[in-house]
Amino acid sequence: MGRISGDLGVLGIANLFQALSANARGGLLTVSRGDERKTVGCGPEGLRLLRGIRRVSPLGEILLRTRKINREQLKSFLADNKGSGVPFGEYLTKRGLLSQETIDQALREQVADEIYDLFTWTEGTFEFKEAEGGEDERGEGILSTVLLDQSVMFIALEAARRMDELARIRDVIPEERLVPVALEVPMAGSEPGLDRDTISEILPYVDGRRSVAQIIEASLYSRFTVLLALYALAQRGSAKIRDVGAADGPETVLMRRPARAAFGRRREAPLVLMSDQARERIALALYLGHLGFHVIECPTKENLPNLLSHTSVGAVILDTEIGTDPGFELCRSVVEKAGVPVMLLTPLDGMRSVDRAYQSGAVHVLLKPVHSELAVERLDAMLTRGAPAAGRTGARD
Amino acid sequence: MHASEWTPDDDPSASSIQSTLWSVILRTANPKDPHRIAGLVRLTSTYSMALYVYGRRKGLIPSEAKKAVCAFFDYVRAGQLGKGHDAHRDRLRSFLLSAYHEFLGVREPGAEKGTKGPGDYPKRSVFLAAEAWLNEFVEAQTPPEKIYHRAWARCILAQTYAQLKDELTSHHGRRVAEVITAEVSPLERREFNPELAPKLSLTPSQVLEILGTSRRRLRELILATLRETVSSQSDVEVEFWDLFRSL
Repeated sequence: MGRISGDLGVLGIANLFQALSANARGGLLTVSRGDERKTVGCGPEGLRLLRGIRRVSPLGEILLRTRKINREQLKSFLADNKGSGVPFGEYLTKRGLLSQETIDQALREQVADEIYDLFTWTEGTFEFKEAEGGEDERGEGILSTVLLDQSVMFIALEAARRMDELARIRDVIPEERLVPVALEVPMAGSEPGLDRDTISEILPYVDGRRSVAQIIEASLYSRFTVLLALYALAQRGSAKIRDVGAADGPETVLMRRPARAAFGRRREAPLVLMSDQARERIALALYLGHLGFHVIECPTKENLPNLLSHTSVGAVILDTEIGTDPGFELCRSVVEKAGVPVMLLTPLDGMRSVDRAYQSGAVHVLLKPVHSELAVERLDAMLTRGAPAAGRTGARD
Repeated sequence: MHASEWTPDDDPSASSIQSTLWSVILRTANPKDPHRIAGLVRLTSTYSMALYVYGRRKGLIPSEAKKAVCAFFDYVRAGQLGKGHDAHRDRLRSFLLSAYHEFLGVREPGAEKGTKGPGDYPKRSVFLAAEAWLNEFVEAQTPPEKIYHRAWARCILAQTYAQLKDELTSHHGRRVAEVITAEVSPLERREFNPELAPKLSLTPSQVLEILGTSRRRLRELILATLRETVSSQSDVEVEFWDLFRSL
């Protein structure tokens, strides 16, 4: 069995997961940073967090923020279960307070938060031990039994998205010792991936005394969500990020830096490129990535609904050369269910096909082989406008 | 045209979507195209250490292994490389191994007499370093293919370290570049040595910052170097994985 180890600072956790995915490797990945250590079991069915559970998002907090229970109920249930030795999730289901399905969903979310947290580790070491057919070790605690039934690739893509977001956030909040101060400016608009309720729940902690780290500790939300909320507040002028310095340090400094473009292009949500034609997909993704678009590749149509339900995207490019299926139904489904503008790439010729494509809800239809500059122009328009702004692009124009 | 002058950008057929050196070579249909040959010579030269150690483990004595590599250069220059080996086309590493293996099988020992001057071939120091590495770090029972892949990984790292050192030298001077490149390794993480700071006339936080930046830069350079040897992004991930398995 293979085994590799090395410096996380050189390899990068995202590269490591992408390499695991590309090579379809199963086994145990242990990542260490100082005294902290996490072991993730990677197998064909998904991921398990076997060791190293931190307190990224406790179960009670997840149930609270997903409004499965309220704050008073949480306090009461925790007090009732205190000292029993029964895991909190088991307590809730045995008492009939919540369904097993609700608890399972919350546990999966908890594991996902723990694994995504790994992607913020820029320093440390790793070791991967390959195992035939996936992980082969038993883990510690209730969370180690929870299977995160998503592919390593999906996790890597979502993590890459979060890393992009974090890089953007770091321009405004470079350190967690800084202190946000709320201003008397109402919050306007919303941040992709955050609802207004989340911001409203985090806002009371922004009292001018707590540091970013203390707000993360005090709030119900994961580190990533809190940082995103504080970033949104700062960007919209509803908060300032203050550097109070060391006790014997220089005077208080107020700082608010302008954010750089979200993905090196503009502040726009990522776009999903769905195509089962690997070479064409990779080539187009590379091209668009080079131009600064944030592209999430989706190799199969089966993965698309899951991806769209977990990720806030700006547009979808559908390559419809899927056997005999021209992809019109898939397009209709994406438009209706996800409300995302779609660009169709189709090998079909003739106005009838193009008409059918538009009838299925596509904003733009490009005939293959795709004129890449034209595709970029259309994508720019789609992402800028957000909502469908139909223009007939069926001919090779 | 000299090999070092040629880049993928010179090839008008190269698409802006994929423009790695290897993918452009693959797209050039004429095997005797001078651009293609120049690119191949450049790549073969970069990885000549791997070819040498493969020949050695296949039973050639040092002088024969060296001559075989030089003869292979002539073979590449003559536009012979690229016929067949279709199963290995996506990645230069496997392509070159397959081609060199076949070349060794059909080559007539001594046929390299009368080849061009030594300036066109890998430097003698490359062969000496390869020989020293074989003797010191490689077990005698290691199969030729495995040694080839390990040597290939070393070639990749050698290139990236050289680039990193150049960049550090231009930003921080030679002394800092030497010390920092010695501290950064993809395979192990060394404890921070606070004594480095006074040695380099820097503060500890400056040293830490340079170390962190250098680690990230080394990753970028490794990925960029691998990208030049494959025809698609997904192959980069596979090569990345194999690189660390081989080391």
